[in-house]
This record gives sequence, C-alpha cells and structure tokens, in this order.
Amino acid sequence: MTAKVFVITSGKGGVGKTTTAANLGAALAVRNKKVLVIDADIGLRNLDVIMGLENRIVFNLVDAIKGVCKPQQAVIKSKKSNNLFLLPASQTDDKNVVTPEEMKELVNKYKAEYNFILIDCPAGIEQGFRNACAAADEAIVVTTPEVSAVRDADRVIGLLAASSLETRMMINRVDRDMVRRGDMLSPQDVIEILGIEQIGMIFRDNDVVISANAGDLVVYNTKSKAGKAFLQIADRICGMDVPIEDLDIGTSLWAKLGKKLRAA
Amino acid sequence: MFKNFVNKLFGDHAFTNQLAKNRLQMVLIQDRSGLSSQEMDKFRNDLMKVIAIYFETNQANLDIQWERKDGSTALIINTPVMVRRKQIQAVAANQK
Repeated sequence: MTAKVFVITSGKGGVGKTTTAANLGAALAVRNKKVLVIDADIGLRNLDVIMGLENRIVFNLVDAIKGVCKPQQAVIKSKKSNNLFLLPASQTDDKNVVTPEEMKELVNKYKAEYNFILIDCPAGIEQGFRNACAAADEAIVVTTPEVSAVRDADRVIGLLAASSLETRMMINRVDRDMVRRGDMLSPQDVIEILGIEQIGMIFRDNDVVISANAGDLVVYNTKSKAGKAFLQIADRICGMDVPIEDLDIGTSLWAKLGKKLRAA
Repeated sequence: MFKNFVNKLFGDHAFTNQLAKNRLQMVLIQDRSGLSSQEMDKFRNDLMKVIAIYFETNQANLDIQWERKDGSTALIINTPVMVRRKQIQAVAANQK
C-alpha cells in the first residue's frame, strides 16, 4: 500500500489541530485503515498526551531523521487499536533542526506500511509549517467560527494554494444555539468567506475535554456528537458520500422572524 | 414606531454574526491583496482614472473584492454599466 498523506493545519493555535489529528486518525483506524499520526510540533509536542501515550515514548521524529534510531523504532502503537500508530515529536529541539526535505524523506519511508498518514502541524506559518506541509498530498485546514481563526485560516489557505496542495477545511467548535441566535458565524458563512470545500464540522462538545483529560479519544465515546462527527469525516476521507448537516435550515423561527421584521 | 415594537418583542439584538462577517470581509481584502488601506485607496483612485479614460462613470460605485474560489484568488471589480465616452462624444458632435 501507499499511504495518502494529510497535513492538519490552521495558522492560529488552539483551534483543535492536535485533537483533530488524533481523533481523525483513530476514526480511520476504526474503519480498518492502518494509520500513522505524526506530531510535527517539535519543541511543543502534545499529540502523545492527547492519545494517552506519553509514557511510552523512547525515540522521536528527530531521532528518526538524524539516524539515532530506525524509522520503525520511533513509532508507538496506540493502546486502543492495532491500526493506529504515533510518531512523537522531540520535546527538546526546535523546529529548525529539521528541513522540509528531511521531513519528506522520512515520511516516504513510512508510506508503504500505512493507508493514511496524518501530520499534526504546529501553529504559525514559519519553518514548522513548511516542514509539516512538505510531505503532504492534501491539507485539512481546521478553523473555528471566530474572526481570528477564520482570518488565519484564510492566510494558510493562500499559502497552501501557492504550493498547489489540495485543501479542504473542517469547522470546529460550532455552537448550534449561538448560530441560531445569530451570535456565531454559521458554517455556511465560513465557507462563503474562505471559498473552499468543507470536509465536515464538529459541534462544541464537552466530551472532547473530558476524553482528553483521561488521555482517551472522543471517537471511542459512542455517545459523543463530536466523536460521531469525526467518524463521518473519516468516511468522507475514505470516499464515502456522507451528507453534512445544514445548520442554516435549522435557524430558529423566532430569529428568522425578528430578522425579517427588522429588515422591513 | 414599528421598529421599536419589533425591537421590544425580539430584543434589541444586533446579530453579531453579520458584524463578524462584514469585518472579516474587509480585513481579508487587505490580507489577500497585501495592500495597506492607503495603498488600497491609491489603487482605487488609479483604477478610476483608467476607467474614466474609456467610460463615463460614477466614482462612488466602484466595488473592489478579492474573492477566493477553488484555490485561486480573483480580483473582482464591480461597477454599474456605463456609457462609452466615444459614443457620448459622437452624440454630442451630431447634435452640433
């Protein structure tokens, strides 16, 4: 097999890149795909704690690149799935110890063993971003319905377009009630502003935080809305046609009426 | 009167999502073009000068947008239909 490589990026920090990388990886693994998630955030690694694998790290991405260990030795298998693997970042180096060429070379060494490789990109648009994108076939831009996140997403989408990477976006932490009240950009608003295709949206869900506290993933919580949404995105990545909920249809009658009367 | 009634009934609610959308659209014009607001004004003025060579136009109605679609950014200049200068001059000449 030859893995399809996705980079998960956003520009802005704190919008849910790492959570998305971990859960999307787990969701694809649930769908019987063999998945490697790579933490490219050298110096600020977090994918290990999100996946609950922080105590199992021996080698890391920088070790694998610099030849301290074999590429396979740096990879850790997840506790929950035989299909899900993590390549952790180094916590002691900085982003400049790795070049985009080295990153590409390393990822190529893993490609034959996996169906999917997801690269968790650091925040920002500097060296770390370039490293994370170097090996990718496609990009998923994570954004939230907030002005700062959408603005940064726009910048990143521009950069990805310049390097002709196919890009889709995921809108994270959508609050249905706020959208209905007219107090949050709707997914349709965000799509209209950014002008790219949506791969899915995730509703704001306390279960994401609760799972992360325990080093667990929300995908494994069958009651969680966010978990289900990640599984749907995984299905879309696998080429299935799963419709995305249209929030604008659900705008409350009250808000609609108020808007109409005020416009009159 | 009617508006006051509506506001009372539905709350004096500003729909901040629309505010966010409008502000984003303004700031993204600058981000996407890489022009500062001063340069943007100059660009607008220069554009108007060029258009005015060929067309009779109303300066206030020039709408400039940087729109993204399918990965590429398009510069869209939108202005009401205008009469060609030459035709105006021809008509004026005939009347004489």
